[in-house]
Amino acid sequence: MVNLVTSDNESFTVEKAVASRSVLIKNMLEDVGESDQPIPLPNVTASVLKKVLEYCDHHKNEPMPTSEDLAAEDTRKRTTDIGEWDQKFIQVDQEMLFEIILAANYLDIKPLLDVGCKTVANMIKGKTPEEIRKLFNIVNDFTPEEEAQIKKENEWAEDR
Amino acid sequence: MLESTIQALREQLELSQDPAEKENSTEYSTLFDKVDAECSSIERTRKFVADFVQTYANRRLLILRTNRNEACGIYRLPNEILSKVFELTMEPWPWGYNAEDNPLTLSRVSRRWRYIALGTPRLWSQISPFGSPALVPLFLTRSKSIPLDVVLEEHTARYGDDGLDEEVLSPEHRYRYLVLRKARNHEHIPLIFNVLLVPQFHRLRSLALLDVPEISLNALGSNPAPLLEAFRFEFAERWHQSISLFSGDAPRLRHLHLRRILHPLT
Repeated sequence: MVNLVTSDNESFTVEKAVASRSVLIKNMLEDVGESDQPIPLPNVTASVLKKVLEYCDHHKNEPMPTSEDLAAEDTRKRTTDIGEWDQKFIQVDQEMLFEIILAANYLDIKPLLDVGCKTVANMIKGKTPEEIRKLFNIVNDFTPEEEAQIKKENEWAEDR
Repeated sequence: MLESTIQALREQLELSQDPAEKENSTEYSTLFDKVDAECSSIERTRKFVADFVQTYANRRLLILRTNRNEACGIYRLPNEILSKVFELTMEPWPWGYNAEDNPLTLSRVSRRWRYIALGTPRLWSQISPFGSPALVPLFLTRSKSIPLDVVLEEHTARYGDDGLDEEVLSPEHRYRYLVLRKARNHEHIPLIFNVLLVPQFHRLRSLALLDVPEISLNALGSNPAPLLEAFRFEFAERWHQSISLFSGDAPRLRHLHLRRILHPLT
């Protein structure tokens, strides 16, 4: 078993197979060897780690992505399809979604990072800039020069 | 003419005035000059202050808006993750209408999104000039040197009414020329293919030519496409004769789709 300690000082004891879905933790365990020492995760809060571990537990028996998989990704046809369980898992509010993505990035859990990024991509697809701003609570902060360039590109795009 | 008449009237007035009136008139004139000078000075000051306030307000608003955006949840994601998200919004080749809308939309959301979108070459690698041909050079530039996915489809194309003159399109002018011209005639697709896309054959990853009979088959046959993985070549009507493809040099070609083309498969 592996003991993980979050930034808000909460401890989680999990199976090694679950914790090792994180490449960061897996490498730490390999470096340290067998030890009862808790592993501090200063960038992850308890509420986020709980969700991340739920994902890792569900996928613990799946093969880890190989370096060939990662290299092939660029040339493969990209898709934003998400598995059924993953879709339900990632149905969280925006704040938690971004926290999960950040945690997956920090802990180096590539499949979870993919699920998070695909979810955000699906939220963006087919929307206008104004709809995207509204969705993520962003405001237009362009300079007049940038606005002028955008206007020019708009005219080209509308010339059809 | 008018000035000389006014001057003459002035002189006549001065002659007709008695000394006392003349003195009063001079005082008034001096007073008017002073008032006019002060009015001009106030106007200049007002303009200066207004410009200053406007410039300050604009700058301050931009800073406040940018700072406000920094507090948004999605702004917590680092650039490389947002860049990955942007790439995932792209449609798989061969896409439907207007694939070029996607990167343009992402680059119009906010300053940071634009910065990330312009720094994500893959986002600009989907070229389908049935939107506006003026966008093609923009996409070629912003995609830098990464492999391109191209769809050319004549039926969906609507191009300019003020034809492109091939002779004018010397290599150094062709991009600028196409940007400046408004093309609305679909017959310019072959020209766009031959002038803009043929020089990019070395970085084509996927190419779909859907019912574009006027393109240069010679160009298609004589230019190697070392990175090409997928090629669709279709005609809606009548059969077309077999042609040579990519001078026989497309070592990565895995998906070939021909329709109404007589091509030996040996």
